[in-house]
Amino acid sequence: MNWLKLLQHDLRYGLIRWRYLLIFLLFVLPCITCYSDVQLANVPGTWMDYMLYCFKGSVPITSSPEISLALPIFWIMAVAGSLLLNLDYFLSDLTQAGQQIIIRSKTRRGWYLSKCAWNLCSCIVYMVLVCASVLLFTLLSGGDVSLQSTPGVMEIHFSELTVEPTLLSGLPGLIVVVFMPLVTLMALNMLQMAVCLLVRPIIGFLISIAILVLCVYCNVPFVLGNGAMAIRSALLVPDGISPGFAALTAVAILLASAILGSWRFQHTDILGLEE
Amino acid sequence: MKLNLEHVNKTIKKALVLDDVTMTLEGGHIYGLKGPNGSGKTMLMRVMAGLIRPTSGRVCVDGRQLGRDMDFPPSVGLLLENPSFLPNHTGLKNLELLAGIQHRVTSVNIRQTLQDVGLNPDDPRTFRKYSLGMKQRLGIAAAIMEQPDLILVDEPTNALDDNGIQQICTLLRRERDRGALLILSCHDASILEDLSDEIFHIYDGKVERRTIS
Repeated sequence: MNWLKLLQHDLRYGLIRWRYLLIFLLFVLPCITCYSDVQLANVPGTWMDYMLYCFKGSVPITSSPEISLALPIFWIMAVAGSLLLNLDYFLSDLTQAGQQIIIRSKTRRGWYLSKCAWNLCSCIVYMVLVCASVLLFTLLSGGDVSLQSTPGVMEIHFSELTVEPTLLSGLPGLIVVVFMPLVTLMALNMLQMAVCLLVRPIIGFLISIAILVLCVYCNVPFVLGNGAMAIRSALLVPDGISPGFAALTAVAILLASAILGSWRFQHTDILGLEE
Repeated sequence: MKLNLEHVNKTIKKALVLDDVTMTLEGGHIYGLKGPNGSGKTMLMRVMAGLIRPTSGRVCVDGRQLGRDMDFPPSVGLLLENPSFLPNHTGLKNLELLAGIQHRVTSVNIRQTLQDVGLNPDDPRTFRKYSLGMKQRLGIAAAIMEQPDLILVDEPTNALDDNGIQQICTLLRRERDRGALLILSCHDASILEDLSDEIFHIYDGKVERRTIS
């Protein structure tokens, strides 16, 4: 019963925050860039086209000198937005009002697991708002609210590929643009929370960004982030990363982070702001 | 309630902040901690509250060891450094939220505690708009409202006027008479000596001596 009270507190004070509205601003820029491609293709563009562009990522490194590898800025922004949103609540609560709560809860493990649950819920809220932001842009730009990707737009978006990408629609499309990014966000956020028990939050955030940059150059499903790049998904390109395997890897990292974080928190000193 | 500290050492970032602290404290007493800034008084209170784990040594509450048998003392009230509450809620709402975790006190009890510390339970102002003195009073109310067996108060008279200091001293004595174990640190030596049954003098994390008031 106590744990539910803790969770209720975290959901009430950790989720209902004005800063979540910044997500709408964060996704305007990639949507505008995508809109110019849609104009070029001379089609209305769909919600799936815009989502695919936001979570496109970058092509894997190959030996071909014709393919230049650029950092997928929009993709990094899309993932880092969630990491940044979730960065401070856990520790600011711990150094302030949360101290009164944790001594009354009587359990460090319960308190930490409540923060884990909040973290997962926060990722879901983030993804829902991302979908809503893109939906709003699609409607405002006169696009179609459809789960079907458009061939002309796909051709422009994925022009770096040497093979023709599979057109996405329905469930496979949702797996690529919603489910895989969501699972990856959850794992990365959980990892970041555990890392922040060892280092300062800003260092924890930089480590998360380093993982994102690493996955650009390291095309293996074990490195978190690869599964969240649409352009590397097996649902889009042959020889791509299997979503099932990437999701399992993310879940394994998520669980390991929660367990190790909970264990570490048992031994963490809870200090005040001034200490 | 009996609180035992046995050879407690604490090192933070290679600095020894508590050095072989051993003490036995019993309910129905007020124990004062006296020492200069940075001597380790607040750290010692954090160790007693279970917020900090000792590097070595042990802290036992009624024979049960903190960090092994339990994470926190079973019944503890705490006021450390600047009291922090949810800024967009009133004092009453903040205390009701905290009380909702353990369900030990009713809303009537909370209102009475607020009045005891000199706050109006029906004050519509949020914590954000409280003065320093009001924040301090609310912190004390949070520490005592559930009538805990162990009360740790760090500088409870900070930012209080003379009237407020008298109110708080009366309240702390009332808690002692109820049987609670109080541990108090205060820079004002006269208040500390007036309230405490025993005083521990702490320098560089070490209990140098103990005086009985």
